[in-house]
Amino acid sequence: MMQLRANNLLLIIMLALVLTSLYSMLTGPITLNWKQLFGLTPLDQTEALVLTHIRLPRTLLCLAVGASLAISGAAMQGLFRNPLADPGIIGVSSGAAVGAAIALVLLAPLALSMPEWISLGLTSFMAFLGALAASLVVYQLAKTPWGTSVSILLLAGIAITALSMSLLGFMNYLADDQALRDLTLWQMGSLAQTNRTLVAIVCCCSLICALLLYREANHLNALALGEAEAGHLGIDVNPLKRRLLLLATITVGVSVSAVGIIGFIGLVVPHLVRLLTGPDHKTLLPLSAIVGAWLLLIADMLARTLAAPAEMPVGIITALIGAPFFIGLLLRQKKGAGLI
Amino acid sequence: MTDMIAVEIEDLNIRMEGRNLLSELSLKAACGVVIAILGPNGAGKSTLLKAISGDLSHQHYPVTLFGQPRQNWNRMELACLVGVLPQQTAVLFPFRAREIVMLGRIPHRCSSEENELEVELAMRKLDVWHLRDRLFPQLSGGEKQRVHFARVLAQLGEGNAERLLLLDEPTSALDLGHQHQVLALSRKLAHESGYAVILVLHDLNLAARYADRILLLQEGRLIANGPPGSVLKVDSIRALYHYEARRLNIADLSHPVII
Repeated sequence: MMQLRANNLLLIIMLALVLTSLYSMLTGPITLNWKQLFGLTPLDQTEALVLTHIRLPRTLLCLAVGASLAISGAAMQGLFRNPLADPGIIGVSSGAAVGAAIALVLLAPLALSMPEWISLGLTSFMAFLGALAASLVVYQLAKTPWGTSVSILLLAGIAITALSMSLLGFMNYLADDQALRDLTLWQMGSLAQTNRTLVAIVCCCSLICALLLYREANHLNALALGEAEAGHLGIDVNPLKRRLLLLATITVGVSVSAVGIIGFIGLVVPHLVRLLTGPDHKTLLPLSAIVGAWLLLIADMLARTLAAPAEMPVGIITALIGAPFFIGLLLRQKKGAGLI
Repeated sequence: MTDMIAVEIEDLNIRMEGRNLLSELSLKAACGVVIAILGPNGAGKSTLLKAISGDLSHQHYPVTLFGQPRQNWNRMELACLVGVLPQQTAVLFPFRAREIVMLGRIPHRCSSEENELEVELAMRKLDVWHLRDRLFPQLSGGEKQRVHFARVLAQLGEGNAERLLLLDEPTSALDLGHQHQVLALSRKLAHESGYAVILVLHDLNLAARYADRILLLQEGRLIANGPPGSVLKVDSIRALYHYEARRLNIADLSHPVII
């Protein structure tokens, strides 16, 4: 019965996702109509350019990033056995922010003299290096002779985040006005990415990692019983933890480096899905990916239409929707509905 | 009943942070036999169980399971043979009771109909089938313990075969009726299905009634190993628990009663 319900829900949300994706490609400063999208009415040159070089990459990026953040959030909550875990918990987001800050503040003058293909991707590349470095440090700290300690991992994540924040503050202090504004905007997240290579990389990464994470669904279910119990069920827990951490680091690291920090999708979406179809990771992971993609798409449409022709950082919208929703979850919890 | 030796331990020593948790411990557990481990708090009962179940796996201990050293076993194959019920298992997310029991089927490559069937059988044996659609976090302590027991049974599967069942205080949260039900089930699994059952208990009378053999542990050493009647003596109880017990032999009972 539960399974059927999950399947129905999957279909409905898939349908909504496809329709929303198409709609998002039509809306913007230049409005297109349905017929143009399917090639029934010819597009003029500008319209074609807008569609293929701006709207399509942006929509794809939205889907990939939303799915990545939500599915790795679900996996991290399962791995850490902590409903408050989000993909940033292992220091990925803050590490990425430091990397981006170094690129925007310190390397920006150098970037002017570099070839265009380097300078365009420099911020993303540095952000990814930062994400990787931070999560490596966190992982090394949490390594014990008995395997990776999940509680040390959490604490190390907090410590590295604090350290990153101080480095980030230092970068803010050094930055000139333009760099400061770039950095602040980067931290609030933006999906206005026209670098098509980057979009392709993010899409491939998130697709592969999502499939690999889905293969661990049963193991994540077993982890809900605890690490020892998962071991009794024949699962080699330490390699499993390493795989999950690696996959989450790559998916989130790649997403964050491409679009900046987008909060709440990774935290809230898995909770929402658990409320709808229960905690079984075999349905939780795919549904989280789809709902995450859908919500980010909606948030991005709001971000670019609410204040048009200007564009709001999408992180503001996701936090604006996500925070009240999360408070609602907490209130429900307080009433003893026992959802977490 | 078979003569298969499920567990063989030779000269096991476990030291942690300068303390000897287990010293020079040797043990053989055959299939078809219920063994109860007794001893005061901190005697090493759970440590012994963990050494067998592999929870101290960062080091190889001289533990042989079904004729092969533990570390030579394939994990999934071993998981089909050895079931472990820990003292407490906290489940974080609101799974339903049936989903929890279904987790026991992870090591098996079976069709979902077969899994459903095993889950129902196990839940009926533990008297928790009526709780199948309840949310696990909302069950009482005893109900949770029985659901976990059902999960372990579903993991070992139906049928007569050599299996090893390790139970750490399986009755700690149960009412009187369910205590006897769970232990009678364990005894039946040993005597009729050929399981080797090793359980940690605190209640001497439950151990006397349901175990075929009793091990007494004191400060990590095995001080007695034999049938209940010969192990549960007033002087060994005094040495272990500093308690002056009285031992009654009641005519129509085959085991002693300690009060």
